[in-house]
Amino acid sequence: MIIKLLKQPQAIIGFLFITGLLVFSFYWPSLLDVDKTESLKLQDFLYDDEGRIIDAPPYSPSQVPPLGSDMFGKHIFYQAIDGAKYTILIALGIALFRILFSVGITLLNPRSSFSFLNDIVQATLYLPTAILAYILMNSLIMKQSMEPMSTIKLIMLQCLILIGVGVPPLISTFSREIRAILNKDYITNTFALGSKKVYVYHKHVLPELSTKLVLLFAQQVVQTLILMAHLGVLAIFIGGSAIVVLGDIFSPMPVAIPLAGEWAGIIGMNFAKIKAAPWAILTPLTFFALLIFALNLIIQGIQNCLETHKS
Amino acid sequence: MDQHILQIKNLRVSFNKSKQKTTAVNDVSLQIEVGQTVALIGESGSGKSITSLSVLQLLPSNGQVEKGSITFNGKELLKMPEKEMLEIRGNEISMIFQDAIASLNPSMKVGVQITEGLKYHKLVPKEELKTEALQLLEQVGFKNPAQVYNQYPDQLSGGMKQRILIAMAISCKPKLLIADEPTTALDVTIQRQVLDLIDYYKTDLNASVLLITHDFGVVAEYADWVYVMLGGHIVESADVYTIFKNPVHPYTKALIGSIPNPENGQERLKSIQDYTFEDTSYNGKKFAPATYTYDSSSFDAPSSLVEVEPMHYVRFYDVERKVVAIG
Ligand SMILES: Nc1ncnc2c1ncn2[C@@H]1O[C@H](COP(=O)(O)OP(=O)(O)OP(=O)(O)O)[C@@H](O)[C@H]1O
Ligand SMILES: [Mg+2]
Repeated sequence: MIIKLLKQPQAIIGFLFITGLLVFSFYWPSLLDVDKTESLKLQDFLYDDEGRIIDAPPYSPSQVPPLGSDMFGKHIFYQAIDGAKYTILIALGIALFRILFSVGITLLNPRSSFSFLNDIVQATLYLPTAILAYILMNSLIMKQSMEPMSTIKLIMLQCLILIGVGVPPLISTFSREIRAILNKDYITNTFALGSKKVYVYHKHVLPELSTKLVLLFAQQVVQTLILMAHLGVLAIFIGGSAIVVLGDIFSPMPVAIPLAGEWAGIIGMNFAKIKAAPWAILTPLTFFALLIFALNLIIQGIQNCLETHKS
Repeated sequence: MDQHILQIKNLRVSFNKSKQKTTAVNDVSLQIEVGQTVALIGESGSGKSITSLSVLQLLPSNGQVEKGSITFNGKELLKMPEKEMLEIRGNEISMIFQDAIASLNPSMKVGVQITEGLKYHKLVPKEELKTEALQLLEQVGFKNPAQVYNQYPDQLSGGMKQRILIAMAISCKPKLLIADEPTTALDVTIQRQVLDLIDYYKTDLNASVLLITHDFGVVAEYADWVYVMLGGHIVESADVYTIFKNPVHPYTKALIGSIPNPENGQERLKSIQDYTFEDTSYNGKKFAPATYTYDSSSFDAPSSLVEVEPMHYVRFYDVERKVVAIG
């Protein structure tokens, strides 16, 4: 499988892009030879050479190259680069746990069609997961504002929600896949030789499922990223947020500032200023799009492998 | 009659298909004596595979045995706990499956697959599994066992795969071998090799064979006793000479009429599907079913096997019983 994947150029490109982005995200200060705190500091005003204030944030890309700043004067580009690692790792982790939980639950009763669950999944197919996650996340944040909890605990609970909303559809996918494998003739043949169930699962079902698992994992990463982006727009950030009031007394404007630096947070924080500083949203959105594109290249590669495997 | 190795009595199997129940096998009784080859012959969908899967208790998950009994060496299999059943499968009864391509795991070396049965039943120590596999491969006619051992099913031809399946099935030296259309996909010369292999195994170990087929030519050559199956029912049964000399049921006659004849190859293409029975009764009794049919609906009226001559059974409608039921 892995060897075959190496023969799929688009999968390699996708993989290299993601790895490259991760490495860059961890080491960008030394790679770009800039100071991290300096690059990410708030910049209240822009001064000209003689020390006169020439502008207030948000700054356009031409004022603060390469990609402008947000309404606090923080470089969007550096934020996006620095946030890549959180974004990617959170999405990978959530996707991984979604897969683990759903495989585990399915294997508890592999012959079951989980029909009650299928009905629920069918019914919620057209309800965007983002809304469900939003409702759950929002109540969590309400609770947190009343009795503050540690950031770690908050992140854990938020991740659990993001994992949980993805599990039911996956269970129905897996139970379908596993039942399809169990109905194959060679499984019956193995049983006819007197094998125990445990052996059949260990030797035949799981290996057969594993290629499919890799594919589903990559798809889940994409779905998680999309979900995070949606939640970001709805101003729900992983790691919680602080509310800062901007504007003046006549038109106060509360803005939620994400505490962790992932991309969805950048989008959400700048959403209110979409007209004044579109670059502040377009940049993280473009990064999201590129990352999803890279993942889709990998998914395409895996699918090609699965198809050649079949013939 | 104690030497019956397998005895099936009034078996009925049904399936739940999208909340509807369909009967796939009904009132099937069948027995196999030690050392015998018994043929179960019938068209596609008549219930042959389902009958044999019932013996091993490996019905698809939506199927269940509703009625009847299956005894192996006097032990009732239908009530046997799963743990004992594990001991019987592969070890005492084994099955050569219909579709050789689908019956091998495409991503596992054939050598490893062959020894799975031996491994489950712990018949040989782990270190000797490979030697045993090589011997089995040789036994089923491979001249280069060491090479085949390391190959994947895709690298083998249809006939080779079928022989691999035989090797798997005989690895634990079972007393009953169920061969489900072992030669359907193979060309004529390879068919012979495969059937001869099964026959040789049977004679060698004084085992018994349930040979499932839809080819009366195969029956003539290898079987001692014949059961003709249609729409989930046995419609005629007798020893092989009687069946060929004096077939009674029109369906049996049609099947015998469709034996491929090398001289006029065209003839066999006449499909049984279009066949309407010329005779509809025998000695005043009406054949069940009255016309050729795929499904079991033509058996809605009660019918049973009647002994038309000693040890020769044919299915007729129970007209009297029907009248009683209405009255
Ligand atoms: N999993 C299943 N669910 C529902 N019905 C089934 C299932 N498996 C088999 N059947 C039905 O049982 C009947 C008998 O099938 P079976 O496989 O025993 O036929 P067969 O005689 O072996 O045919 P063939 O020569 O094609 O192998 C068929 O009518 C089929 O539709
Ligand atoms: Mg069959």
